[in-house]
Amino acid sequence: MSENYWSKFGHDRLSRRQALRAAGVTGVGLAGAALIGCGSSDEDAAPAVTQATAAAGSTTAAAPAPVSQLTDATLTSAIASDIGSGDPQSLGGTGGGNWPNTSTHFGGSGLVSTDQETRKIIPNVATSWEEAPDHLSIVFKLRDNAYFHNGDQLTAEDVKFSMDRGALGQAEYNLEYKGGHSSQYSAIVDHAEVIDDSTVKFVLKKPDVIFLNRGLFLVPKKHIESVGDVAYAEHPVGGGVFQFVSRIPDSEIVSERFDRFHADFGDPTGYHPSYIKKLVQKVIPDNQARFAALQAGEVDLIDKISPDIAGQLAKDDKFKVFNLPGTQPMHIHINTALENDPESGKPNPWRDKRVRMAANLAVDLDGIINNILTGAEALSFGSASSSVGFPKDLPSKRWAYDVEAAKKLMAEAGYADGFDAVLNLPVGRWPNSRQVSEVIAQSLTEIGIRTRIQELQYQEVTTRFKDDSLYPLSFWGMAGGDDPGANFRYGYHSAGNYTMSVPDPEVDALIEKSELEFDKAARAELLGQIMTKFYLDAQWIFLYEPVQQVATTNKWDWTFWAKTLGDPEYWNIKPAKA
Amino acid sequence: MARFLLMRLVQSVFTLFLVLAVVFVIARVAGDPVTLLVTFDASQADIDRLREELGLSDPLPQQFVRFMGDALRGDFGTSFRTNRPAMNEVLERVPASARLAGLSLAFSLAISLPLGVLAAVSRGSVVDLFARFLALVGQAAPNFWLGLMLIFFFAVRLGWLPTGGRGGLDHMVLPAIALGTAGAASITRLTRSALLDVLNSDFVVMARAKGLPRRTVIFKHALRNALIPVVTILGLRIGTVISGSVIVETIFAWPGVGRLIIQAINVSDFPVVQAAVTLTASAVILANLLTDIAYMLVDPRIRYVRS
Repeated sequence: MSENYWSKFGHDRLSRRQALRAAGVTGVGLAGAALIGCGSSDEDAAPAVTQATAAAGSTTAAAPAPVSQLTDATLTSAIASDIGSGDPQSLGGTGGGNWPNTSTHFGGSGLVSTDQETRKIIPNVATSWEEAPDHLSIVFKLRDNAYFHNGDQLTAEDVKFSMDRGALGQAEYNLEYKGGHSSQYSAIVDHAEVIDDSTVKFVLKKPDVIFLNRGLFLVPKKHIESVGDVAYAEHPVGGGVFQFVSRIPDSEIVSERFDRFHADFGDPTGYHPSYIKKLVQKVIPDNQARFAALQAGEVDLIDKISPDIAGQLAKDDKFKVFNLPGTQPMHIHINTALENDPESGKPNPWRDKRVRMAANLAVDLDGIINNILTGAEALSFGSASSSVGFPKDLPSKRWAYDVEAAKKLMAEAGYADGFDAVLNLPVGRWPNSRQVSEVIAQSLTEIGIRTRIQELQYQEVTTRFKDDSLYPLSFWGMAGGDDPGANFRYGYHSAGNYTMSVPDPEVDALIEKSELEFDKAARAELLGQIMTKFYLDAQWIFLYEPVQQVATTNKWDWTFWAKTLGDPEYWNIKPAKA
Repeated sequence: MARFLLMRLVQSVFTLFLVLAVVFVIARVAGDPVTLLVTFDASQADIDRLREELGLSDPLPQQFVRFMGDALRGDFGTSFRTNRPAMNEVLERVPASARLAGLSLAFSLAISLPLGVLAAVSRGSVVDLFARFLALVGQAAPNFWLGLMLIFFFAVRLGWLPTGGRGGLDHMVLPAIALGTAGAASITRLTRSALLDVLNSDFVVMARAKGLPRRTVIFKHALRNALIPVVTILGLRIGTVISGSVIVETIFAWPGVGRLIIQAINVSDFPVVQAAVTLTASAVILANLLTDIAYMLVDPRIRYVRS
């Protein structure tokens, strides 16, 4: 593991005893925490790193605390990026921003939520819902005690407005609003109707088996109509766990606990008012500078740190490091849509399954995970291992690293002499993607696929995905999540926006069937079949599920609630007991 | 003089036009920004609607004419990220960048002029060697490395100054040093060499022969003449400070234009990139124009000559 700027000068600050103590303190302080190695050069000093997977297994340990445990503490964090907009519905599909702030914090809860253990859909703002037998409409009954930060009660009018504004472009005032997260609804929802103050009905254009899994951000109708889109985005009002106080663009976001978040909602989701009273988030984009701010005592928590910094912090008993299992499995996308190589005009070798299998066998994923990444990443099988329908036996069928077998397959496919390939890499999109891509390019070259890396702007990659011109390989991440149905439609189905594969009638048929299958068990079975077939057909080079590393000072305790985490659960962090 | 000014003005406008054209082309060849604004599974109808709203479905020449017309009015469209006017996003950051640039230039001058003069008047001495060594190190050290080292020593180790972020003068000290060190180094070297040249010229020899005090000879006669190339380099430093601030502002979490550019590029927010690049290019062009004018005022022999 490479050293960073600080560690080169800071060795005198850490004794072996201190490092050992660090492992012990963190291990005891966090229930179920697992200690893992980070490739440290000091073999006696086991780095103290907490993984979400271990903690999340014990829901009781992470259960919401009673209100009496709430504190007046202020937590100051250093985050890598500012929010783009405070309006949760204005988030572009991939246009940046800071999701926990805009969605969980300011935006608030959705109509339904997901049980972290069973992954079942459970009530949230909606206490119940009923689908029509033809699945063309769904009626939600809302809580009578759900509130926005400004004190307005959340009613059916707000839900209808949220759908009209964010998805359908039917809100009458619609001043400035463009695009946004909920645009996925426009092909599905015909319109929304208010039945009464606490009942709302969505009329669909077609049955949508994953309707409940789609996230609709609920926004306050009266408030937005009163202040307008621009002012709303600058001073968001939602129903989230923190209420917005102030923001200096690119510098600081201040928010405070929303006391009515959990107390009125009951406990259907595990959400509760945050332990801390106030959250100050300082925007520090540079990884090393965030590290320095933590060391200097200016902040209590830093996010998105590199593995080398995490390794150093884990050895210091003044800090704790947390591994957050991500929700975006990474892979190398293979273009099999094109019949011929656009440069040489020769037949596209990637259409041969043996070539794709060889490419998967050629990559030493364990080596990448342990030497370049944090060591805590799980293997990717196309969809996240926490997804509905994930076949438990699929990991046993993994493409295990075997260069000789890969070379043999290349020879069988008629490519003993190899061929040239380009690995397209979106610049700076994913942490460590450059280093990982270099290893993959070398690995492929070793079996005869002479690969060079071509860096591209993310925008160019997304554009070329849509016309299948990105050839032949592309480093890519696809959102995971609870239900992979939407991902399969746009990433696996031959008609998807991000497929670039030669149509596979069997996979297409399975996806289409799963989209009409409302029986949960039967659908899970279909999803499992899709995952298995896609993986065993080696449609992509499957990589890993990324892990984000976060560090705090030892003055804070945090036992994860969620199984997968994109960002820190600020609401769930509390001052450590003396 | 009027002809000189006119020609420089025409050249500046033409340069700005080229900058705008390049900015327009780069924003279009990098892909379709609409793909970043919609979800992965957005329908083609959604994509087409948004493209229409943003005026991206028009032919390129038509888009270019509209872009140039809007640019002249300072309208670069709406930020994809914040949904606010792009130029407003940039202008809000200008004061922070200007403060940092001003302080870094002041730091450069405060260090370099005395050091350059001292080195020149005591040529070959320990002071001269020290100044030359400092100048060499200052020019060789990349500002991102220097910034991190400053943070480590003065913020983490000593705790004297904050690691970064927006705030008062204490927040600006380290970034200003990181940004101004390279300038201090180059101006030190230039001041030293220019002053050495002047000190050996006939009019300085004459001044000495007249029995003028050493201080008067150096500061009143020699230094004033030696500062002509320094004025030039100061103008050029404006551009260097702007480009350097892109990195320094990121390391020190200073919310200026440089950091905005990086952020906008990262999320392909091209309206903001276009506005920021146009504004910074305009600043550099203006600085160069003012430098030429200042140069001409300092040395009246300089005039526009048609080649």
